Amino acid sequence: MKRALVVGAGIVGAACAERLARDGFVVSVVDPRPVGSVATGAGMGHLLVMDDPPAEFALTLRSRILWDELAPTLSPSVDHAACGTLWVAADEEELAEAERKRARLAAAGVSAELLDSAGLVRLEPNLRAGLLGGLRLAEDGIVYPPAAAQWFLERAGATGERHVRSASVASVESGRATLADGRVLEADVIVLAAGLETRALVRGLPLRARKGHLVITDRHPGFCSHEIVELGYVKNAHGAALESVACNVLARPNGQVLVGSSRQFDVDDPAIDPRMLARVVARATEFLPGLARLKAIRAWTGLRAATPDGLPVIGPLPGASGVFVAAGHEGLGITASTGTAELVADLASGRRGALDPHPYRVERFAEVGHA
Amino acid sequence: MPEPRRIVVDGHAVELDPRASLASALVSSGVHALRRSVRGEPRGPVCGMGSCYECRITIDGVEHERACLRGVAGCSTVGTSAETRHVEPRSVRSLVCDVLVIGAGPAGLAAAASAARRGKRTVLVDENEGLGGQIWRADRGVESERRRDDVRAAGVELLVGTSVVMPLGERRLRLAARDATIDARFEALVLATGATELLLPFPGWTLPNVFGLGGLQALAKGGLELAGKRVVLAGSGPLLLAVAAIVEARGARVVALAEQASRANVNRFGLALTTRPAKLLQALGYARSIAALRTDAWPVEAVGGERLRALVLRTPRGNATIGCDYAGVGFGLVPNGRLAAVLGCALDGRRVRVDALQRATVPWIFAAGECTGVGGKDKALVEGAIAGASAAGDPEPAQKLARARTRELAFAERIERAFAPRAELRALARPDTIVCRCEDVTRAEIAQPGTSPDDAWRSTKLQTRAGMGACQGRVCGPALEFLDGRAARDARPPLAPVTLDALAVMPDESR
Repeated sequence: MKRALVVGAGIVGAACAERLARDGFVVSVVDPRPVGSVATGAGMGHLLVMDDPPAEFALTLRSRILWDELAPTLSPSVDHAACGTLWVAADEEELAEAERKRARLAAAGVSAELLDSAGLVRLEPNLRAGLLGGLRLAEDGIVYPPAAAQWFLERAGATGERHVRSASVASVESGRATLADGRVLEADVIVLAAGLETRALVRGLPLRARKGHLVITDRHPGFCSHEIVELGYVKNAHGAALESVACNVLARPNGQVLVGSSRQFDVDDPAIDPRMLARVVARATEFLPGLARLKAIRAWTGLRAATPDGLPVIGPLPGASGVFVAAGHEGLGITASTGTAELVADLASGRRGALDPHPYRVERFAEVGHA
Repeated sequence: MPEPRRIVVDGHAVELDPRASLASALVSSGVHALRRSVRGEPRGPVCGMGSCYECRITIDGVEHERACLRGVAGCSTVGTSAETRHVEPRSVRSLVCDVLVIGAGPAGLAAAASAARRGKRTVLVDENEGLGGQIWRADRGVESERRRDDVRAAGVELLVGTSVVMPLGERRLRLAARDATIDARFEALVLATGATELLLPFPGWTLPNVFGLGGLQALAKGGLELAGKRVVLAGSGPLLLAVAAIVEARGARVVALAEQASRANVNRFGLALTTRPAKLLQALGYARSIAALRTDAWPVEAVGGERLRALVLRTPRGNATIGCDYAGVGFGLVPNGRLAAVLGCALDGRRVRVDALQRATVPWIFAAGECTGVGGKDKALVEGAIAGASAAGDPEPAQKLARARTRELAFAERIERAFAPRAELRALARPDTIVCRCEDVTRAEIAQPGTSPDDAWRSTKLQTRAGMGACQGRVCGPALEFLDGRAARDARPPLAPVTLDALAVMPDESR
């Protein structure tokens, strides 16, 4: 009987556990905190295809296909829906970007619909007048991330006292993990999927905290139906600016509206920064003026785990056989959890899979080594 | 009654008492369900004081407004379903003062007067439109009027109908009035944020017209018509008798009065009262009700369809089903330390931790009244007087009033001991009984907690969404803490739901 140990009960770790269990592993998951309660619990739950750079495109597209395969089996608590993404262009440059996106997606066989100004307002009447157009990816979706993580763990048989151990891992080597209290857990395959905390287990892993702010409203059914993202988001998400905001608004299936988003590098303090919160809400309100009269019931922050090149770190850890890293997904962890899990399972079983593992490999960061 | 005000409710013109709160007036007019829950159940007002969020309704184009906090006089169009309309965004202004007091109940009134008399520019903030808090809501008695006069005479600036939104850093808070976003800067802050009721789930407790005990009191004071109504009161504590007296004075018939505490505990508490003549007189006023009081009795089910028809009480002689129009059910009070927690003050349980100066663990924050421990009006007045003076830099009242404070704290402890909710109340909820009223999460969906109480609450929230709705765990949090020990004490901004325009304003960094 093959045993796998996953460090981290966020959505990436949970998805890895589920996928490894399908390969016949008996899976244990270790995390000192409740399931999906760190970055996973702070995320919006948007499932989207990002068409650039190519490795991000491949991973998110494969992941969305896997989410669609899982969809009929997901529990109702996961709240999966195909809300679609609406990329919104405020100026000519962004409109040209919409067209470029459409062409890139079409080349990979992904359908996306270009919209003019009127088409945009027909789909989302609460968008302000005067926007130039946009691009609709109707098949993008949404899940409720902590419940999705819980569902993955249940499918993996990795729930209950026996499997999810409320413990911290102090160190990892081939075949064994040592817990903070000195206990040793042995496994054939070990997956390090602890988000930013993975830094403590992998020497030199270049992850940086990239803080985000979100607000959620009371139920306002019908306010919007897509995830509405300004095309400027791409510049912000991929840019190196220390601080940026972009309109990113998502209606949960129950009518609550999630309002984002912001990015701040190297801020580890989880406290709400009223200045960033104001920037996020003001930016979103520029695109959706009616937001101003919706009732906000809660605001929070989360820390994304960002890598220098914007791609996650997925692959075997150099110098330790059977140990794999799956971390650094920044804002795409919910989407990319399924593709990441598949890639980890393929690597662990020595299979050639749907994704080329090369772009995500650990050794692309020369300084990384076995801690 | 003065000229009734004609307002439009769901498209129909209705004439309502202009002096009443919207929640009270709507229930009086036969609108018992103000909203439908997530599962489509009818829901009406419960707490009457802005903390349960069950009376959310669309008022003049703004959705999810609390009908209990609004006067009929200030409303034109009301809808029990959503309605979209353009609403003018709030204006933005700043406010600079020496002492900011949050909460205009007895503690806040005393604190504000005490600080202002010492020459400090003092501003008093409350979500309600009137001064006096819950105990003096709509009360025009000698004592409450004197306290209101004190505040005005001392030159305190009043900001009513105003909520606290979030901290903006040290000595700064964002406030939201209905027409303005206000960034306040001050030297000292006095928290007089009061208490909320402990509402425990039992089958049928979500039916319209099952109110909190204090909730029924607040709605009665807000103009709920009670003449000829049959009322059952159940739960625990001195509030039972106080509410009985109030509803009887308004023409209701109290058909049952059930105290969950034992006769022995109630008698011991009665004896304790004789050491406090003022409180004894207060109690004698309720003598009629005391005779009707059943001890060792508690509600096990509320029966009805679209609204309450009867309450089933468990008594030492078996279950009794009592037909009624309204029920008030509450199991005591829980200190409201949410704002204190968000500001980083230490709490003991739910009580804001203070020293003899009423200073919290954050040096520029003081706290007084029920939020430091439930003990009633007299404790609140003493603590408020101390807190206001301490906030103004005068430590003398803390010394002068030390003995009075100690006496009130001892009294508070006696109440807590006598009326502690009994263990049987933990078993009232059936598996299908809703525990989180905002998200309609049942007892069965909320699994037994794991090892750490903090993790258990976090997990409960994330996996079941209990505590994630409009009230943000104000009702189910204390209930789950009593039921199985989840430490439901987290709070996040905004401290009260506000329209997003109040969050979109950049804090002024220059001041």
